[in-house]
Amino acid sequence: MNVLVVEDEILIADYICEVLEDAGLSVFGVAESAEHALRMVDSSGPDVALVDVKLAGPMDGIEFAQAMRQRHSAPVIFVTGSGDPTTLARIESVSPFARLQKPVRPDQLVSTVLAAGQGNRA
Amino acid sequence: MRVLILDDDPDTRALVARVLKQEFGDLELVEIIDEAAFEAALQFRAPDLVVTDYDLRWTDGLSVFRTARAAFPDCPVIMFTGTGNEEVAVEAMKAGLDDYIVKSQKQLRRLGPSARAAVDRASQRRALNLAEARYRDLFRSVPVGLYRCEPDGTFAAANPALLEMLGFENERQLTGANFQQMIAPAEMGGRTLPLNDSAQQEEPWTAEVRILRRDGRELWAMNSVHVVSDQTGPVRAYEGALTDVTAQRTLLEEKSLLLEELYHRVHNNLQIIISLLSSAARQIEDPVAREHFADVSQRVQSLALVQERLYRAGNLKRIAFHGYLEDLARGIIGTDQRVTLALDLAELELSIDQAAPLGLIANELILNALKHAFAAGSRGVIRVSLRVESDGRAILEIENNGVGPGGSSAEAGLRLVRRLATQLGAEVVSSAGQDGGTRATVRFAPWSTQVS
Repeated sequence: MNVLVVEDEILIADYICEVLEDAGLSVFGVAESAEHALRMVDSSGPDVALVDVKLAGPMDGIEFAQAMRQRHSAPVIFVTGSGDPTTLARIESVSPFARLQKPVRPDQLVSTVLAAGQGNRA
Repeated sequence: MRVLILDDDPDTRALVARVLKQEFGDLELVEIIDEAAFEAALQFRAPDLVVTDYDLRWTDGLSVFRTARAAFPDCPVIMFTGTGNEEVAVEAMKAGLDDYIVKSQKQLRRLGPSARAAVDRASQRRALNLAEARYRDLFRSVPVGLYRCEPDGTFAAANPALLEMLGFENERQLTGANFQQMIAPAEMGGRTLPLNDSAQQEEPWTAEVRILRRDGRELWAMNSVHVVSDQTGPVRAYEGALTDVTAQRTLLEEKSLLLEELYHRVHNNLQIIISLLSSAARQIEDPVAREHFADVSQRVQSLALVQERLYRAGNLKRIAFHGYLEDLARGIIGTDQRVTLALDLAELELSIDQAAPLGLIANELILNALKHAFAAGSRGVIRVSLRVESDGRAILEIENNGVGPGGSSAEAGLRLVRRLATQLGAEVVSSAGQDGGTRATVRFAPWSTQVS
């Protein structure tokens, strides 16, 4: 299973990749900005996208999820440190597969990605 | 009381003086026989009453009336004359003369009471003018926007503070402007100005409203409105007061943004700490040392959970500890299929100062049970219970039905439990569980009950 990681904190991105690879999943790519991530999914898409809300660059993760949906049906899992009602409502509005609160538990991250990937293939 | 008497005939002046003295008692009488004396008298001090003949050698009674009123608009003037006629009388009364009395035996009786009535009227007029002036001053200088508008919301009047608040440069710009149309409908406190309501149901109301000013800028204001109407009739007008609360709202919004930013930073930084710990652990070969790193990560998780609960609770002081315990226990057990979690949690709110260390204690005890209580491959139950005793003390119990704690990381965890228990003034007792395992009992006094 191929997982796209969109996260501007490189230490957190590295950690997420390690957790995914430890669980036998492969990383489709790591992008620090929505723009970079959109270029990555231009030709082919991941099975699952793990997306932070606050990103480098003008677009945030929620806008990225909307833009990616135009091309791919990959489920989106938000991994975010934000918890304010406005952001939560915006997240809900793009119908993600799940929202995980930072700091994320590794076992929870893996089980959510697996569930999202299976749902996508079914 | 000062009275000017204008008559060329000394006998008439004396007659008038006598009548007025009978009516008013003590009087300051000024008898005037020429223009110079009249001017001097008017310049000296305001008269309380002027009684004048119509036909005077140096002028006529109407000119006297106009000159007196020009100098003192409230001053009562009575014409007492034998030479006037009906035309003069009508013209004088139209101009506002207080009374016109013909010099005759029959009419003379009216002079006293008429003078009294004129003086009383003038005094009432002065009192009313004073009250109106006070009201006008207040209306113009009060730093609250005051308005009156028609039932459809068209402005009928507004004070300078309101003009300034709504961005009008002068009163002329107010003509035709509609208050209702300046108010964003969603923020009328769930209502718009009711156009045709009758007054009997209309209590005054106050609502925070968002107003689009004339220049397009936004204004938040407290709007206190009451209905002006007859007892049962339709609404005739709305009157209200507007207080600018934009600055307060901006402050609140900034505070909320700051809090969101802080929350985000805390969680992001905790995630970075966990990432750093994980990265460091990967460099270590020794499995026991690696386990210590994993334990620290789990402790950071338990602290992050307190932060999250605190932010979600909204008051930043207390959290629902029972809900926190459930999240914590489910998180630690995670996807481990060997263990069944049994929760029995009474509702308990705790301050952040107590919840964070207690959360760490619970974290260690649950983690210990998970890691050490069960032999490899065997299944078991971890029971987490929270209850409040009749003396107000609370009891947190973590019980397993496995073989018992052990291992060096368990020792490190138990040291942490003992230190935090000291901080909390809590008592930790280890005993045999009901089903052969181990039970840890933490007894503590929630700080809210200690205070009371």
